[in-house]
Amino acid sequence: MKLFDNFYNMKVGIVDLTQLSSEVIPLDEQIVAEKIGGAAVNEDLFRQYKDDAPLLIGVGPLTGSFAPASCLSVATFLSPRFGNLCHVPLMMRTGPEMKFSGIDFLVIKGTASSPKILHIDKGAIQILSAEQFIGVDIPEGLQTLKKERIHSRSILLTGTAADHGVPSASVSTGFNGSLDKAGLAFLMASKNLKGVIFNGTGGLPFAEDNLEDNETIERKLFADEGHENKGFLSMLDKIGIEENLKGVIKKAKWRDMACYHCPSPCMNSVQFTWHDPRKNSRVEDNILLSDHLGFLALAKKGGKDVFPLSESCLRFGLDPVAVAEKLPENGSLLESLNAIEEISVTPEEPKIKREHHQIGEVSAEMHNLYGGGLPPILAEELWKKRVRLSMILGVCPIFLLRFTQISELDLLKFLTSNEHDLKFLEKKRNPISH
Amino acid sequence: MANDNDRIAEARRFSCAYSCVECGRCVAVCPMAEMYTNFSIEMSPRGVIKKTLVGNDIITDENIWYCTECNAGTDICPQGVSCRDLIRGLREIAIEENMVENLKYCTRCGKRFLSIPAKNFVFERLREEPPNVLNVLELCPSCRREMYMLRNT
Amino acid sequence: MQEQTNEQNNIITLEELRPRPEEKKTFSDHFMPRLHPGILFDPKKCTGCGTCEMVCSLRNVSKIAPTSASIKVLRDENSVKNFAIFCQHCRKPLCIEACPTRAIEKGEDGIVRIDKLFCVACGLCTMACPEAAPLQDPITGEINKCDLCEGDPQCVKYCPSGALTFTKGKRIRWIKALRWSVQTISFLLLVVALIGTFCSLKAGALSLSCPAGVLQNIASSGTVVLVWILSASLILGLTILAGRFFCGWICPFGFFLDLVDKITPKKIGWPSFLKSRMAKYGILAGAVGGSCALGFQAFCPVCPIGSICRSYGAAGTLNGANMGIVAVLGGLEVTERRVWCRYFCPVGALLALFAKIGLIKIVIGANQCKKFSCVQCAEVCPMGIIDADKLREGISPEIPMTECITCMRCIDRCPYGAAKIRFRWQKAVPENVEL
Repeated sequence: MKLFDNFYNMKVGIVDLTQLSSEVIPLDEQIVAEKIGGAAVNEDLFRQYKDDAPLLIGVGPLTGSFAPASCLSVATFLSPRFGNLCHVPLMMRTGPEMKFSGIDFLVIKGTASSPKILHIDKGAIQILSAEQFIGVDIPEGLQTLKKERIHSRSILLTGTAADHGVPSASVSTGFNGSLDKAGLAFLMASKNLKGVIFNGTGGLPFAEDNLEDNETIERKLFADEGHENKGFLSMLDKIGIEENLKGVIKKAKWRDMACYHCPSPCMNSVQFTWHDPRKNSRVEDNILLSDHLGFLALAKKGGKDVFPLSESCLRFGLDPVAVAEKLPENGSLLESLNAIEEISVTPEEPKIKREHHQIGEVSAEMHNLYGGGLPPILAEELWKKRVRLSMILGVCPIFLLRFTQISELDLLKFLTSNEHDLKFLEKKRNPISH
Repeated sequence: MANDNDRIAEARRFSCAYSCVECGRCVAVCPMAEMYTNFSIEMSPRGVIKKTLVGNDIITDENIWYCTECNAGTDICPQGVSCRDLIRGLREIAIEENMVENLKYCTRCGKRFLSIPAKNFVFERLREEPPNVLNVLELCPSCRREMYMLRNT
Repeated sequence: MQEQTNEQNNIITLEELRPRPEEKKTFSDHFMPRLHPGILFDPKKCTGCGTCEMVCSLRNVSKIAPTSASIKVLRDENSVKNFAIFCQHCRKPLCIEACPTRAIEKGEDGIVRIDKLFCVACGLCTMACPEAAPLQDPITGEINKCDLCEGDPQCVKYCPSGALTFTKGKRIRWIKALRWSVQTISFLLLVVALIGTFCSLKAGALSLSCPAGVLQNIASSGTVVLVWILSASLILGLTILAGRFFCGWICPFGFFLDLVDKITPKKIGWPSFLKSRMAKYGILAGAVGGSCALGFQAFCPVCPIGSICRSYGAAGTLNGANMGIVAVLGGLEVTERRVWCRYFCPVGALLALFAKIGLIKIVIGANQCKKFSCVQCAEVCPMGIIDADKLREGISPEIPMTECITCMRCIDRCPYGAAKIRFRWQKAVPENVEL
């Protein structure tokens, strides 16, 4: 469809890990015209390849454009932890880098016989051996990438927890975790896929007046809220955090960090010094916190020890919420750290969790549909609408949840200013089946 | 050595060296003429292409190390010969044979990033700079940027 | 084939076709200097969003392609910090020296540009840049280097956190005008107009005394007179407030040295084994000890400050001996700027001791300083206390207030507002807070 020509490469990458082959085929224009993009197109492709237990990673039309917080790529797969078809949002730079490396949708099917890592650059997919990444934790894995001189602008990496077959393993977009609570890393490990590397060296023209549209939105945003609604701490506030915990947490040294083209950061990099009981010395660490629910879960159990506990979870590639459930109730820091290490090496068959209680005002079912990591800061109906919109267009869901004054029309304007086309797009109500 | 001959043949093919008609356009745009006082026909793109086509001893020739890989010669060639691809191919074969004396290594990360003649040219032009500036230039561009960042954050 | 190598002599190089422009200093450069525009980056505010790369690439290749931008955002996984690399438009650009095809020029507006007509994308400019700022486009192979968007940089406009700011780099040097005026007035008053010398000046009921002279007085006579202390403390009080302000703005010998500087801009150099800043304390100690031993002020007769004041007596008489002392000690100025003040002056030494507990300091803010691309403060400092080597390495240096004569040439000269006066207790960088 001509409308999307400048927003997509119109290419799908198909990787068969069993045959160790890959190919890049054109994206069917019909699917895009019907489903627009993101999670909706992922679903369509999932049905197409469902016999091969595929993992799908896809972007929306606005991913990489000047739409605010246009960082999103969506991973669609059958969740081993929740049992349903799941759409996990992947932030930081995965979406734009995948698009700029020449591919809009990636279908990964089959299982490799030995650990493999995918490298996507200039429209081509390479399947590389990942032996040197097995058994190393995530920071070391990133160092290995550098040493091997593998050019990477964005990576999805699993940690040692996934290598050992731990169901609560969570994929990382760099050394900052992700919102994956649905077991994406476990799935990748079961396919013997250690990670996916995107090296986006190309670009797309998008639409001419996008920059002005972005300015209009930013002015609207900052006129209303000023710059107060930003940062990790303000998100924790919105979700709900106890006052005494807030006081303790504020003492760490914070700096705002943002994903691709996000005007209002919701992540923080933290610098903290702590006494490591295992080494019996003071250690200084830096971590990037992006997972609000995970952080809150650990803070409830660990109090001010939340920072070293987060660092452990990030290091092994574990979901902090699942880990927090297993931590001892009033354990010392040493006990908790040992528990986390224990969890990271204990394989299990994933027990499908069917919970019936709500998280915030959002039903467990809806929450799990989108990976289990998005903050429940709105009422269910509105939450559902905003998240679905973000997943299809390729814009960060947390951004849309925080700033409800940005309407669907505001975002569609980034695609076209043509009245006829706008009406066509608005008519599309693309349900994501659940 | 037989393997090398095959690879040289591959490099000739890959760079379309056989299409060269010796018109000399590549020499006219080549920046090496501005850089090296000993610029000769053997060093020029035309010369290297010729030598590659007539024999297999081009790898040991020091003249393949002067090129800056700028691609101006490829851009202007009417026949579609890529002198840069040829030079790159030949250098790779030489590196495999461990002939790396003419390469500059980064003092921090160990990556090869420049040929020695080109590096000497730059340092000659910058000879009036104080030594600590020249020390920074011994690093590859990525390391320079990282070091600059580490000093300022 | 052989004869063609001899044609080397008939080749016209681009150096001849496009010669490098000469560095000419015009009269207006002294007060309204050339523009040094630049983008300033504050790493504390950078969130790593990469919007700057997006808008820059839009301008370069009409697409959003972050790797085709002229600005590069570095994201360090270990320290979780962000940094932006971009051309600093150096005052003395190294890329211009290294470019073999003379494609790079620094314009009248201060912007360093690559002329695509001459550029062959060899990448040697990147090899010469201390920051490796020119970036090679991975698709087209062209070199993308910041050109400040011809004066309206897009990255600055669209940075959501305000980490990038643009400065035109202009500075009207009003401190210079003020200081020369004050120095002239002080010279006229102390040397010509008022009776008595700086050593002990009486203007009506007010008396002003040189602190070093008072010290020698006390040592030689063994008595302490309250009036001496009080009158010397005026200068000492000024020093505690504003550092060695006396040396930079009031001292008539200092004014004389500054005038000699103007006539002899090219210095012949001072031997490095004589470069001890501690020597002046030794001379002060010697003066005091000598006064004690001799029973009269040991240093005051040969002090150049006193000599210059005594050179011009009442009714226009000139004193040869005093002028001789001034000429000899002032003549040292041809070796290095303010040699006397740096290594020998005991009055300066005493003021330095008080400046050490002074209220103010001069700082060079790391974020605004353009470091290796500018280095003007180090070049203009008469006391040579701004470490140019540190600047070239990309570290902004600390300034010892015992040596600083608070002439504020650095503050006047800095086009980016990096050099500034702060109170001693004001922290330049926030501390690391432990949990």
